[in-house]
Amino acid sequence: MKRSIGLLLILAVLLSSSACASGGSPAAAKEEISSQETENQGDASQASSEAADAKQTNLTYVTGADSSGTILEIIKAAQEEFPNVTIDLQEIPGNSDDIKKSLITSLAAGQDDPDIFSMDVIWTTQFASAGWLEDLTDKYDPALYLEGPLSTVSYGGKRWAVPDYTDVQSLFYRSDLIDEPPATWDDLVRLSEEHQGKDGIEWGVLFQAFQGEPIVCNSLTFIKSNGGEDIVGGEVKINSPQAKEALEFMRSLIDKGITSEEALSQKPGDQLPVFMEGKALFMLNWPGNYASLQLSPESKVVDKFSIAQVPVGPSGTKPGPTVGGWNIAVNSASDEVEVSVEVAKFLAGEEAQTIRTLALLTTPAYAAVFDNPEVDAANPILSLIKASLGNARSRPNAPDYPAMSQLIAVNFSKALAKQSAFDESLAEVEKGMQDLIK
Amino acid sequence: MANKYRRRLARIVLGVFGTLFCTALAFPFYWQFVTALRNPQDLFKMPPELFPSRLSLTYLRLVFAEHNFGAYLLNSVIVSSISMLLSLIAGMPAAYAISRVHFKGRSFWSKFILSANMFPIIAVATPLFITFRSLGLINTYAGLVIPSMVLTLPVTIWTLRAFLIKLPIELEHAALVDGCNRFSAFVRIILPLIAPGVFATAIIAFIGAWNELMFSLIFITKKALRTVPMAIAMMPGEYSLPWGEISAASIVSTLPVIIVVLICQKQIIAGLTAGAVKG
Amino acid sequence: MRKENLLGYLLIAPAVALITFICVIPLSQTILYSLRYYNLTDQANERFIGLENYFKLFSDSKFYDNLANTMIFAAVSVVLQLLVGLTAALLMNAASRGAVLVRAVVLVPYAIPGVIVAQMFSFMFHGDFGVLNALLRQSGILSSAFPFLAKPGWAMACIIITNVWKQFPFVALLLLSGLQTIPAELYESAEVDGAGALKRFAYITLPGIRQMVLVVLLFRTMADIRIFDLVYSMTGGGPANTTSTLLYQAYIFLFKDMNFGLGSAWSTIIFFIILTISLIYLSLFQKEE
Repeated sequence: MKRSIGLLLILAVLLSSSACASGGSPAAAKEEISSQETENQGDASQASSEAADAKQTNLTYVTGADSSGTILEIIKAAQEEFPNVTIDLQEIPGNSDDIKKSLITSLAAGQDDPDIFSMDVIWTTQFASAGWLEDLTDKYDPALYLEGPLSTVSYGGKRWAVPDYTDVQSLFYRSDLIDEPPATWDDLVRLSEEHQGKDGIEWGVLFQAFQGEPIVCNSLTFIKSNGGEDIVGGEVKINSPQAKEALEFMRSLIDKGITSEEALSQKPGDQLPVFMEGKALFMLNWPGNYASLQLSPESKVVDKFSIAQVPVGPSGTKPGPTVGGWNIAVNSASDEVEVSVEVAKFLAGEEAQTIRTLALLTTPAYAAVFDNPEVDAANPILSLIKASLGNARSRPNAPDYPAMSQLIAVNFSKALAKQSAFDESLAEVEKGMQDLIK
Repeated sequence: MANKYRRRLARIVLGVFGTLFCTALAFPFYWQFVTALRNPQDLFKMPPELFPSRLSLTYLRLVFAEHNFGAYLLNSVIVSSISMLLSLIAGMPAAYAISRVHFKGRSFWSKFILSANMFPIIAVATPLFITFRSLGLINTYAGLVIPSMVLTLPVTIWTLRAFLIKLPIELEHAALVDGCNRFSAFVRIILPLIAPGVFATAIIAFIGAWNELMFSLIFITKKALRTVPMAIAMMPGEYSLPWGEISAASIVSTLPVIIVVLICQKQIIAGLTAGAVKG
Repeated sequence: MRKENLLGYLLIAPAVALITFICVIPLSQTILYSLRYYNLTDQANERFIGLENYFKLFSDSKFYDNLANTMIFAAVSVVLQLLVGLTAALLMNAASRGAVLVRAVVLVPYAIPGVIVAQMFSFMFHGDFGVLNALLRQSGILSSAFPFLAKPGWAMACIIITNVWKQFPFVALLLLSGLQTIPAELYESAEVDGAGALKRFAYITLPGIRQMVLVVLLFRTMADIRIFDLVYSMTGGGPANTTSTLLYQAYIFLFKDMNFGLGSAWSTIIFFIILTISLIYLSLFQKEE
């Protein structure tokens, strides 16, 4: 027995010493190579000769997970542009909330890392108020970018990030079954009722009302397409007859069996399979999902769908789709702010956005990318999205936006689940938002 | 005679009930397993096929082809094994102390140990990050091992304590009279008797570390140090939820654990108990 | 006696040091934050404000809703985990044939990462391609899909089921280890004395694992009150905020609103709730001894 205990101890010591020397583990060694191969392999001789006369700057770039390798390709391009800079890419898995959680942990700790990071459009006001963002107002020419995305980097008269890619809620529809997408809510209902039960169509319209950002984005799109507003000129305007009509319309879709009640628990990704299976006629969603629907082996609607602007409500005059997307920001605590700004501009510049648009079929924020015929050929819906972008509406641009969002999510979820009256919910949101805006 | 029939009946009832019970509990895993083996065109079939009409290795192949999965598995094995060992090495003496040693403040310290499982971890992410950074534990195995093991320490200690206080103290006294010191009395007499508890806590510590994600996401930024849960968490992108691939990855990461535990349990328990006979 | 003290401290030192370092120090930091106005978006105004965050918390109706949700979740979860876990442990202990299979069934849920379990069950509960609805419809129990996760009440049931499936192995493993220490001779002599199965269970099995049951209750309660991940990924606290729990709300304050003061206050209250319940359990322990 003594012997086996001894063995156990030796094993433990061995294992823990290997733990300390993590840098030397085989897996770690492999990583050193792979993370820097972009720089070293590309032009080994040049890199080494230049290293002699120029000092090497190390930058960290944090972004969401990307298993396609597109971000790596962009970094590779950046390394060619900035041979004296080594960019360490750190991917954070999960959705926007997960990424924010990780970012806040290091930014709140006053880290100089990451130097550069991707930022959801709804964080700009908060992160700028926290003093974490480098002011980029005079660092790039705003005329190069589309207006919608630009509005998401602006707060307090300054620009805090470079727009990277954008997204605007649109109506996916089955172009093999429908010639003309619906322009109004009445059309939406009529077409749904006509097609439900035929051609494998079970649901007329899909939308997402998961308590969180999904219900906020979706209901604000309905409300603003019906002439409603959230905040106008610093005044809360959410409690309006138009807004009530919009929420009632959303619930009526469920009551009529056009939308599944499941919507109340759905995020965009959970619902995609239903459209992918060809079981739904319309889906309100982000066009960024185009690649999944068109290219994934699970999809049964390849070449059978298109997108259109969201339809307009009876009290509205034009669509008011919610805008989303991501921007690239520079950490104000970075010890290499100057270089970081230049690299960030490149990462959201024409070349990078072209690479991204071609590979991931997302919507660029850089205006000139739209004119690239190659891009147009790769993503035929891009021109349709551009039309939507003209009407794009951002979510309330206030440092307390998350609190507002939570307020909207909880109260609208209550209304749509018939747990409270529409008037009551709207009044509750209005009151709460007024308290927050003070 | 009647007794014999009754016993047979009881056994049948037990068998039927056991089968139903296990089927129900195993079903979600079966479903995950089948999902991993589906043909992509059937993945989201509505309604789903309970018994797939065709199978495909597409997703399993993707897991091993596209991702550095072997390296991540290795990381997980290393981190979990060390966590488990350290949790036992630090836990066993502490359990012995709070159940067998009469020291001042024993009651307080045994409760103090529980505090590790009382606070909400997400609330301390930032303070912990600052501490770990100042100690240079970011991007090291140690940064993964320490939090996992600490979070399983209380269970280890309290489980072993529950075993220890049930053992008659005379056993140990007898050993001491026989000339053993306390340590060898523990190893020879007590350890074999609490072997089932040691084994159970070892599994809990191992799997606890195997599934840890919260800390790894904060403390690990290097690809090479990723563990299996991190690697799986990396699979969904902003606009994609590759569910077939994720299912396959979860199967690939789960099966080895179960097989190892099932194979090891007899040997471990036998080994621990055999010590008693020899001693 | 002094030697006994020294030995005691020596033996608990590593565990206590680690727990202090990883848990107690950050926890005291959190308690300090909770006494401050500490909003990351308004750091210029950071200051000590005493118990103001707590007043705010106790005057917020959300707190009581979340408290109720959390307690329902934890109570039902713990009871079900205990029942399922005990059954599994008894089966593992009794089964001669298929023992390995039963053990595998018990281990599987425990070995799958939590993030996957949440998504797995979300999809199983799905109305359109979920297997639960398919089974219920094929067997004629339902005529059309039932949106489990979208219905107030049912959504809570869904996350409880998910939690029970994920965590019952913890209970089963520990209770099994307790069962294994009950000497077989006890059962044999009881049988000779003519004690029936129920009697044997009540007079031998239960007392034999009583300590383990208390350990399991203690740890599962501490964990289930801190429920966060399932709510976060399966419901977001919805529908109609019926599944929002204390820690989920604390997360919203901390990481969505970036209000570390208020979020820390909620976290601290969660700590004290768990501390109180644990001390009650522990007094049961001590009576036992």
